Amino acid sequence: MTILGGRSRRKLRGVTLVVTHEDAWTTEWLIRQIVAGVHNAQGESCPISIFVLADDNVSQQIVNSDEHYEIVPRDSKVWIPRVLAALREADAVVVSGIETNKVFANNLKANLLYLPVLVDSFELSPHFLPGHAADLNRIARAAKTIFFNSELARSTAEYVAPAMSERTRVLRPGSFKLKQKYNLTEVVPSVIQPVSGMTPAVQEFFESLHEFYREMQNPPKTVITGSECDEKFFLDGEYGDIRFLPGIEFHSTGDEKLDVGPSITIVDDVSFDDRLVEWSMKESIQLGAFPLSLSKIEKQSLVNVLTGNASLPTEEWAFSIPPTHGITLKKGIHQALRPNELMPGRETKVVLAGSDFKFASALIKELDAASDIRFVVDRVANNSIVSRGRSIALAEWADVVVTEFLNEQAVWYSNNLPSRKRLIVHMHGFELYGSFADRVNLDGVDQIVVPSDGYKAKVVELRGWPESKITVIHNSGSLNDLDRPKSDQAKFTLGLVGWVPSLKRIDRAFDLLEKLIDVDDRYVLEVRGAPPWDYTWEWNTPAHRDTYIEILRRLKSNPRLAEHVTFSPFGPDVGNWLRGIGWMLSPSFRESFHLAPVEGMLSGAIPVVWQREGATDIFGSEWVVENTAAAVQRILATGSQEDGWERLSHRSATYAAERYSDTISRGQWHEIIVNVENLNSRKKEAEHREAVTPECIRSVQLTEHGAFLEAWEEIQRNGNLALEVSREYGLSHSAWVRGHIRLPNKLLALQHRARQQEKNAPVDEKSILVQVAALGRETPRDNHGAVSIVLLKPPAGSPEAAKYIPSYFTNFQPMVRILGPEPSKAVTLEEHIEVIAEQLVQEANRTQSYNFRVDGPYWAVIAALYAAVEVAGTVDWDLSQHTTLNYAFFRPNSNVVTDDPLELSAIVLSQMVRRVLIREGAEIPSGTFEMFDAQSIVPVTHTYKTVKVLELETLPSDATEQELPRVSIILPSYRIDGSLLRTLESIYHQTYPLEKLEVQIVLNGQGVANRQVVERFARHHRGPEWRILESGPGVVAARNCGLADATGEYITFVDDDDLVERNYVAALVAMAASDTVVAADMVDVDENDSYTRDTNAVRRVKALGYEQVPAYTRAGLFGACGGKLIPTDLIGEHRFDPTLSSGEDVAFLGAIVAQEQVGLVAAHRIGGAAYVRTVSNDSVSRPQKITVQFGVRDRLRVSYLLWIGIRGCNNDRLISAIEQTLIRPQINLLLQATDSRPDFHGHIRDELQNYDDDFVAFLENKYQMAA
Amino acid sequence: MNVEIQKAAQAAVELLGLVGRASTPPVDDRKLQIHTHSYDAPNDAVYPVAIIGDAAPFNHQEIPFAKVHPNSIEHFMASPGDYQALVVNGRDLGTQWRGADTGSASWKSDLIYEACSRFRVVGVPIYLLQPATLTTPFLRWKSLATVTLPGFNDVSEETGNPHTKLWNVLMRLDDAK
Repeated sequence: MTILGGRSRRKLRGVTLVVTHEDAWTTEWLIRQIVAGVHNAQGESCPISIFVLADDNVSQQIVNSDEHYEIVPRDSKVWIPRVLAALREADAVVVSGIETNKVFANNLKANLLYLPVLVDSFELSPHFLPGHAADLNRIARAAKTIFFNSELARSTAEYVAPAMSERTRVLRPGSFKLKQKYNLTEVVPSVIQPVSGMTPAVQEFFESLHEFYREMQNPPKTVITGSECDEKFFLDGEYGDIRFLPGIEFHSTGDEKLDVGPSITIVDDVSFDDRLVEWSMKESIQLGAFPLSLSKIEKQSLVNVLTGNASLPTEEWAFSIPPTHGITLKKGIHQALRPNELMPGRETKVVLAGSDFKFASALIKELDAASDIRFVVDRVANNSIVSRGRSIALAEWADVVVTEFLNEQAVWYSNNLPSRKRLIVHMHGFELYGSFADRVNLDGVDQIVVPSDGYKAKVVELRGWPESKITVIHNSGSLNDLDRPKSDQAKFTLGLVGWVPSLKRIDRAFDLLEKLIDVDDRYVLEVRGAPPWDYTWEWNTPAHRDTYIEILRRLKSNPRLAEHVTFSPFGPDVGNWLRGIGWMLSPSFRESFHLAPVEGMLSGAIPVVWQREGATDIFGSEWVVENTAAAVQRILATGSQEDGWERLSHRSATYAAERYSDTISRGQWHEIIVNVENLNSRKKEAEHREAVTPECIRSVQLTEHGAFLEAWEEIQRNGNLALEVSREYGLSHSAWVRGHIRLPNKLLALQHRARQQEKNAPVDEKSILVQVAALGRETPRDNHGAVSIVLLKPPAGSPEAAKYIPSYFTNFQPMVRILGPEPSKAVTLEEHIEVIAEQLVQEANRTQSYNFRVDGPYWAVIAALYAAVEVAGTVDWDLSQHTTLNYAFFRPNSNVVTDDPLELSAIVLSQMVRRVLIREGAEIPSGTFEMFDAQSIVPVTHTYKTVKVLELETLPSDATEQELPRVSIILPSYRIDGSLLRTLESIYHQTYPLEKLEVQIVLNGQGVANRQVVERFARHHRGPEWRILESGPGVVAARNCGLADATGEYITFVDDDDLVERNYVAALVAMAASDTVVAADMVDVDENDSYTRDTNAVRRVKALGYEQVPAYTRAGLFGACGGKLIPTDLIGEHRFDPTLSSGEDVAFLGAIVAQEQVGLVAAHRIGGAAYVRTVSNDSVSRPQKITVQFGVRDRLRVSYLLWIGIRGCNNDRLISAIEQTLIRPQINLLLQATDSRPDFHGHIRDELQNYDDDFVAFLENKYQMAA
Repeated sequence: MNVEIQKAAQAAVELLGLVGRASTPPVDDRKLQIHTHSYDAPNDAVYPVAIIGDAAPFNHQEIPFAKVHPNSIEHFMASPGDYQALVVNGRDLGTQWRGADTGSASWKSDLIYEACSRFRVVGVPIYLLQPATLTTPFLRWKSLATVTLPGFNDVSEETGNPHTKLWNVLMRLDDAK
């Protein structure tokens, strides 16, 4: 009860009934129900005073004229003072009549229990307009319970006045009792028709009467009457012919021509509902006639009565409505008065704190009703607010504080409520994942109330809060409100409350309905709730809007479906709406409880709950279906059985009533509030909180990150259902932000698990080095002896994701394992982390190494922590190489948990990481890592090995080598010396799987003689397939020989005096594709082993970046075959030109470049992957002497071959590129040669005789050769 | 009695006036002209996508669509609620809308803007496929677009809801860019 009342603490002094007289029957009916006495909770009867507001002569109409009541004139100047005087001695007032109630609602004493009775047929009045809503709302707000005399009146009032919700009752109709005042000796029958037109039942009745009358000379007079009734009244109806029956007269009630009034009336209780029957009955009584039930009258007997041959069997034919529904007024008053048992000398003062009380109905009702509780409300505008001044005062006053939702108030009270007082927190759903749960002081909370067992388990699992502190009180519905008669069509009507947010899955309801109406056209779907376009936050989310567009599209494209679906606007009158619902759907993707189907069950609707987490816990397996098909089956099977729906409905209602009736939850609430002290005592050491100190309130520190802030606010407003993020922030990728929102709970659960593990595991120095697949991080220079190296794909939205090139990294597998899902907006951060963690566990089990050394940002560390907890391993955070990058997004100086998920991540990370590795001698910025234990920060020394290659000790045993392409290395050798063996060694040490290599060693020239040396090398260096071939003299013949023998998917050429670094082939293959040439760095080494790494070739390759380009756009890179990986298919039958002694590479490659579709890409940027070209005076590619062959023939031949390649081509850019980049240098060389050797002009002229005229014309036009 | 307690007591009285679902804050009707049910004769009910610009990407996608011509656009603007969506294919405006994006046919640009405005008012989504190079007309249209492609378009996977065929095609277009 509210503290303003205090009524239940005294003996109930009395009840006053104020009846506004409308008709005698009603007045009598009301008086009779209450006059027998009312008792308070202790069984003591209390005095009753009754006032009838009426004209003076009314007492004659009231049958129970012997009862004690006082007739007061309707004049308000008279009755108000009189009644108010009486109310001074009353604690409750029952008032009938809408006009009188309006007066009361506006002038009510605050501590008076007010019970309006609205039985004056306002709902039937054509003048009743929604404008009455304000009056009805006002009445409802002031009232405890409002009584009606029909479901129609109740529904109408609930529809127009939301405040009526959950506080209306229907009174049981009164039965009619025969009184002596009726003179039934001269029987004149009448029929009362409440609406225009004759009903078939009455028509049939009179027609059968006529059969008897026909035989009579003077048929008895039969009056058909009703208010404003005349002949025309019936003419409007289908059965107007009745006026031609003999003896029939029509009269309005009060008609002066009606000399002999009817002594009985016939009430059509066959055609009309209870409400209209009652109206007819009251009209009959007003006439002074005795109402008879049409359904009970035997016509032959009636004729006998009418002809004076028999007496009227009034008792048998008397009208009555079976008391199947509704309550008596007396019981209604008792229920409203019913206080809980008073504990002598004990009163609990309760503060209910919150902003949103839609789930607190049972709690509020109990607080109001309980005689041993006084309650006030600490109401704030939203869940993020505390009204400190008020809360401080209320904390002093209260014995118990109950916060509705785990909100900012719960956090505040948990820190500030004196320890002798008790705090109960009522949680519902989304708070579990929110910051309030992080920040609430659990020691300051006595009990947490949650709606289901499943939710409780989740709280324990995710938060690690003790079970003893958590009590389940189900959300509940009011049986009094919901238990109403179902309409006939209900069993074919599916109901769905709410279709926003989109996870309510209305599409499933549509799927179900489509299947149902294929079989039975009677099924319909009623959807209740505001449409999505009225929820701005939902409608402005494109993907969500699209799902609703799909719904609209579906309705418009399927008229049959649309015909069977009705959308109703939102309204609180759920009980009213449920009267027409036989099946209550719950197709949601996720719900923490879902009250609507529970309410449906209490109303007698059968729930159909789609399987989801926790559904069975709440609804029981009987009401949960696996999928839509099962729902179809369920409904059709039920419908096909006789009384199938009724039986299931009964079972559903019983199931719900036993669990979810608010009488149960109210009792539980009462118990927990008055006994919370015994349930769980708070820590006694919290004595310092005796005084409320507002200074200790720490303001909410939101992160500066706009996306988080916005997301966080959204979650406060709309729960986790509606969480979306703005697109205004550069980094506010939904997957990234939403992942962070969810991360804290996972971390807390992780930490909880970790704490349960034994911490005595030996330190395992064998590590798995965990790095991030992002450019700028990819080259491990020092692996500290890690047994394995893995790269993690970065999560979508992370800074690292922008530096992740899938083709660059993933193609490199399995040389280095790349773990995790592809960055995708569909995979949130925490999901990404989980996938990585699983794969890290596999890696740990594979390598038998359980320490993860993470050279990555905090999310990579968290992934490793997940894995470490799983394998009971450890995690070191290696900041020695990428210090700045690794803690760029980290909150390194957090020491207090706020609702910034990053800060929580930082704290958990600092508590769980075993060591932080920093570079020895490196300066750590002040304030950084202060959260870490100093001993856990370990300097490490880098050896900076000079190796230029990736140090992989072994390839993963289960690596999928078979998926790697076979590569042919064509190595012509015209001599055998140490340099060839060095070249062979460099091939043999490739990191690329050697089984995937074949090496065509083509001996030509003098080298043939030394074949045995090569064979010996091959025997001692097993792995690659060494194919020792012999060809005619010259590098062209040798390469063509190698090409003819090659079986690999890719070919690369290596000269016998050049070298390849260890990752050369791997880096090429990493970027390979069937239509792409891959170019490696070409560095120079001279005979003194001095390297030149900044070569033109290297710069050109670097300039490619990480993009694939059309090969012809970089034709300049195709001057030499070395350092290229060429798909064998691109080469096809193409061969080196045997007539050339120089420029054969350009001619050969030019033909490939001239293919428009061929792409070019740089080799993987991993270190140690260059082609090392030996700068030697003997190199065939660097001739020093200018001969006719070199200066003229080869240049013209090469130019010609290149020209052939572009002849007929339509791509101007390609033609231009080949002309400018490849042909022009040849021509320039030619011209240079003629500069030094003028005699070459003649050779040129001679040579040109051998070429096409078109080619000659080309040279003339393009290069002014003629000039 | 402490004034704060009195206020809190009054708050309790007010709370009792609206219990349960009655305490749910009302959702304002935004007066969008969106209807779940069509007035069309049942067999004529279509719900096409209105497309400004090249419609080739939507061929053979089982998406009913209607191409909007500069001289027929009034018809579309008269009843925007009859359309599932408005797609402005800024990547390829086609011959009919040529110049709308460059200023050489500003009247067409205005028409597109006006159409976007009309469609937006009734809550019909507007999808704008924008080219790599933006021009002022695009920025105007973009201000009214529900979704701009390519761009950040959150696809919520946590509801398992089906999307429209149009959406899927647009997302594929976006991915393929």
